[in-house]
Amino acid sequence: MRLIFKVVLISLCAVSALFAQLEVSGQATAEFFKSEDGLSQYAIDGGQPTFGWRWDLFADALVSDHVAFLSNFRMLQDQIPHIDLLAIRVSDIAASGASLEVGQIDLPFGDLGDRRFPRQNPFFDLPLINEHVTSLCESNYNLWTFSPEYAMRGDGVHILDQGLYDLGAKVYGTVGMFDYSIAVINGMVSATGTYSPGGLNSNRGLGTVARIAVTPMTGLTVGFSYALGPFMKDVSDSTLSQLYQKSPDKYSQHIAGADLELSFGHCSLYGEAVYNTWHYVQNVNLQVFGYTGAVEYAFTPRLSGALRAGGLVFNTISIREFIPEDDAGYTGPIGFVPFHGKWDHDVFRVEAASSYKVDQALLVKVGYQINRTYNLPQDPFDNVLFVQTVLSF
Amino acid sequence: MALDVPCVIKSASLVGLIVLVSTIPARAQENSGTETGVIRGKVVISRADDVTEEIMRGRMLNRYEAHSDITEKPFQPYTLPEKAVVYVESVPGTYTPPRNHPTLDQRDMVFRPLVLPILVGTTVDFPNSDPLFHNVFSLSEPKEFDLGRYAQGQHRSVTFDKEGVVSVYCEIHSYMFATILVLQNPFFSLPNSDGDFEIGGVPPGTYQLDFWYGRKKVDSKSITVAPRQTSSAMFQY
Repeated sequence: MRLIFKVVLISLCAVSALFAQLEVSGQATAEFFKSEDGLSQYAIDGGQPTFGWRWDLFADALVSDHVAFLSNFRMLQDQIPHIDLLAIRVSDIAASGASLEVGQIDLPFGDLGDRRFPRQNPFFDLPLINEHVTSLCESNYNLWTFSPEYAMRGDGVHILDQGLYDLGAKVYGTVGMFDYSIAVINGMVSATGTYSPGGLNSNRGLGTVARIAVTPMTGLTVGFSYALGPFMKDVSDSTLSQLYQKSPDKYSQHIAGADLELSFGHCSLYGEAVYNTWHYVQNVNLQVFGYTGAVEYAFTPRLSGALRAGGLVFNTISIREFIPEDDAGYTGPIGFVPFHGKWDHDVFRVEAASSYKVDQALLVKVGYQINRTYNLPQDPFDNVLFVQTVLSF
Repeated sequence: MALDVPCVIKSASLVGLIVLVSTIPARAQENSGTETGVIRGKVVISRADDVTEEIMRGRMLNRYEAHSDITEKPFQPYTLPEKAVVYVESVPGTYTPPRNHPTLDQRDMVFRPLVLPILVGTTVDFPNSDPLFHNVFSLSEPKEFDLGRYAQGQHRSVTFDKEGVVSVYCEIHSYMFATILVLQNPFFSLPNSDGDFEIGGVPPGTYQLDFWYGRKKVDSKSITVAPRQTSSAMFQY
């Protein structure tokens, strides 16, 4: 895989030299983390102080006035290459104002925009609704409500899958004060098909994502998003297939979101809320309400500050949860065990960060993140301090 | 062409006109009663316009701008007076900045002009002519500023009280850039679209004449100005 990445990079450089229309730019980060060492998915590296890095490479080509190629490559310190975006864009089709993107696209849910990238994101990670992994295990689609250590560690399905990229096609455009976008994709916003085996669709259906936004005045945009589709991959040996004779991809997700962006002077605000329903076994709906809000202020041309808060509230369910007997370390009941309660732990996060532009290309950020997990005997120790240097090129 | 006018900027552009009008009082005041010379010449550009291409590509490849109706609007390439400046370095004397404010406009998702020469102490207006926000800022040593976000039809102003090169960017649209040349003296000229330039009212002496094109100073040469004489210079790039 690394070899492929190197080949791609070398090819890009060669193509860049040959064809002037290719634009190659990027961002590189080096960071230091120190989290507390609690049993939580938010604790980093078991609480050990650690350095890390990230590299985003953007390689775009404007082939003609209306045809472009867009791509993002991302790699972290684990050295696993991720090709987030790889899309062909046809703009203003037949002078209609509508544009089409096909390939691996960024999904039109919410308004994450370029806050995906370290330079534009005043914090070190995405909002909680993009980062949290739920107690619904991705590996076998079991719930882990009886084993909070699993839920807290997170082997679960995301509510919004981090940067939100997937294979598919997207049509978008602007009509007056309205921006619209609709996409059909392999996966869903909570479990994109990006990392599915072979990279192709692992569901029998396709996901649909749509967003409409209105900009009634300069600086204020309000958007509404909706997505529908299968959210679990068709894993034939999953617990769901074995116990319920129903393929996981027969269960669907409905998620609605609203986002708001307001900016004026040296201040900008961003907020997003989602209400998500995953249809699950035994006619249970796994629901969650998630929200995030952030404010940024530029104190001087070089110094900025930002505050962000977000939370997740899960619904209460009644279910007979299947607990297999071969779970190492688990000492509770096994088989079908009745469960009544929240299917994951409510969480709340507040974080503050400050950034300083050393020059036009170099940014230094420092921040602190406070995490609170509820419905547990004790809130895990998982607050995080970070320092990050971001270089744009 | 009235050569006795201290500063003659031979350019059909509005920007050139603004600079012409705004700089005449300064030189008239400082050099009245002295015998001066004229620098006349031509710039010849034989290279492809990389800067315009670069901005055009950046504008079209912009990913997260919702207003596709603006980014897809045809982009007017920069004219020569918008991207080229010929100026004299270090002419003894002090010069009063003009009262009129030159402008660096934000229009069709680019800055116009690409290069704006001003006399130190001059105040520049930054109007926003687009129906969306820009956020003009600079971290250059001569002047750091961040104008924040303001709506179409509004403007902010900055006074540049230190000589040097000020690189101007938009925080929101990273491909947008422009340069403000904050000069020690008002002896500069924007070549017209044919490349002709003329700098009048220059005190006699030997100076360095610089040629700025696009994003950088591309050439420089020594020139001697004699009283009531015209000195010639030619730049090729």
